[in-house]
Amino acid sequence: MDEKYAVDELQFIKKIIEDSKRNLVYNGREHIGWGLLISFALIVDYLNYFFGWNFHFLLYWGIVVALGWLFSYYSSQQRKKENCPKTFAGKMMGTIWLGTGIGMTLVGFVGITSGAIPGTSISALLSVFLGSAFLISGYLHSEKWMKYLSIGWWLGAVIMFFYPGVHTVFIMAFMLLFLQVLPGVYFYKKFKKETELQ
Amino acid sequence: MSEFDYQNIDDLIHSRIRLAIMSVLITVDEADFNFLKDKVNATDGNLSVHLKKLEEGNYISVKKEFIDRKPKTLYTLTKIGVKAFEAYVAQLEKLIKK
Repeated sequence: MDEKYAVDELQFIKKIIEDSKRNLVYNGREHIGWGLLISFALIVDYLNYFFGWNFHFLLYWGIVVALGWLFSYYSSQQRKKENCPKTFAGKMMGTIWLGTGIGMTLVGFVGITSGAIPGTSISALLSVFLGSAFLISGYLHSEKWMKYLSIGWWLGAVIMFFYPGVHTVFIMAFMLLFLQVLPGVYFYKKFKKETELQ
Repeated sequence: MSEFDYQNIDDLIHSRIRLAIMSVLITVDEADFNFLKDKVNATDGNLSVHLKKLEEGNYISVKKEFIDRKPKTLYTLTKIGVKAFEAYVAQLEKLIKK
């Protein structure tokens, strides 16, 4: 084995590793799915308040959140079928978003029904959760711009804490579309591009 | 005298296809047979033979599971495998620096 062979061998390893990394791109599906679902549900909730439809709060949000979790389950099953390998970073991401999702579900349901958290502050509180999750996700995805999204979430939280009210439902829906769905679309496009390259 | 010794080169990794398998598995935690086949560009039979050799050398571990009633074989690099891969790369780097 000579020097030239060693250089070729190292280049071969580098090429294989870079090629394998293409499959590790996040597909953004859950950001899009959850973002669209919750922003739509928030707007319907606002209309419910405005027109006095008198939805049962727990039943309505129970169905919406259950749909979200069903979508997450479907998405994880799809990923298994898509021949995507498991990675440590991927498992970390899954755990962070699972923890954030459970935390938000608890705050949303238990916090409001117990009376510990006023309904008008719930959007602000959930924005704090999302900001933290985006900060960690940005680090794991090595996407600097994603870390700045967390600042957007936290700024939104500050505004909603200072100016609570029914209008926060609209602010939250707007933030979900711009700070969650759009980044999800970016990841989905990146995922499609990388998988087409193979 | 150089530190490089060709006798230290790991024969189990010193094959293009097995090196490719190890390189893929070092990037991911777990990969299935089809993913490896796609990345390594090998036939089913050829890939199976080389995976078996790596498994016998305890460089990789194998796990079987069912997804939608279809069998799926998953491969993971063991700690021994990771050490062997790192040692192999170190040997190559040593040869270049010689």
